[in-house]
Amino acid sequence: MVTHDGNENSATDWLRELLAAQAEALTGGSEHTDDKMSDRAKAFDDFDSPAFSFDHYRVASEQVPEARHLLHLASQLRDVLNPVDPSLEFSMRLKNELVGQAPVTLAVRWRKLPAHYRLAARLGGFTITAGITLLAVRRALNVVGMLHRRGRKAESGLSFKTAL
Amino acid sequence: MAAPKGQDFSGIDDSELVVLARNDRAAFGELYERYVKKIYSYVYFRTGNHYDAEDLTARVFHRALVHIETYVERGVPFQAWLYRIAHNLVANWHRDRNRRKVVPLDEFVAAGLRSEATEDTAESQEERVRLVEAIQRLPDERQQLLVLKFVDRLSNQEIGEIMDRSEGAIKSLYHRTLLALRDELTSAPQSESARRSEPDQRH
Repeated sequence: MVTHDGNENSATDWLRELLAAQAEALTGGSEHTDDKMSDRAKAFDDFDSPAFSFDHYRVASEQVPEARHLLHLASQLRDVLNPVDPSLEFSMRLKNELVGQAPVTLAVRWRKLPAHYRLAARLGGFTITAGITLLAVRRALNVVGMLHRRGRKAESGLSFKTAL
Repeated sequence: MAAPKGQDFSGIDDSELVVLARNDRAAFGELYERYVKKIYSYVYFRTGNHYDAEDLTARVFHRALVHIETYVERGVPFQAWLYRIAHNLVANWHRDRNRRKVVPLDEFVAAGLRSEATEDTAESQEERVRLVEAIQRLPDERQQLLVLKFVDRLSNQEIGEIMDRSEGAIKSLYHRTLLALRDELTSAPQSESARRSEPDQRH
């Protein structure tokens, strides 16, 4: 890719600058409502029209189709990626936790624990749960086994009497 | 420890507030108000669901509160520091769950559609879905850049502070990200959801 000045790197650099300027205008325009910023955002609205001056950004003519494509893509990104607000209830609750106006709940204590404490707590919890499950399963198997043996005993007693 | 009721911190910049917040929870509350929406949006787009976004956002601020006494602004402004905490927690979250980075498809397609609900065609909806799916296939740092730029609307300088890169490097990364997205879109001519819905359309 060679530009009017014959420098390959600078061609990419100018395109990079153009894209950066558009992105700043697209994303800054909504927050900074001053006229200058708004004019900058508007300047990129008509990049599809033949009147848009790529020369102004020193983009070489052979790069114009690529530039248009990428500018269009950036506009699509702006339309698709929108901020998402947290719920008011969550924001208020967390603020109360942080500024010390809310009772410290178990969840808050958990979050405040260092990572290795949380890992140890998880491991401990898992071990206890696994141990209790194992005991319960063994007990259940014993009961089933006992019932099974009783059943067989009763069955053999019955067959003995029948044989007599 | 608490600030007098009705204390107004609005004219105070972040650096001064950080100093005040070491002894004054109300000052920390002001910092929280300034950044909770941005941090929440960032975490939400990196995790893909509100439940984890709430949990991780809470952890970010709890961690910031615990460590604010030792935080010193050496070239890393408070905002960047907060985002770095969020980034680390999100990275741990992904590592623990061994999940791909998920961008919440339904939410942002819906949000995008809301803005142009009346004139939107099926074709443009399909285009948006393809774009979102292409974003999901990007490497972690490129997704991070797009979220910081378009969702949280930060400048290149601010993004550079968060990602520990120069402004020029962020511009280059943005350019490469757009090129990669364009390639993703041209290599995947139809969206996943459209492909999934095809058998239904035949009936």
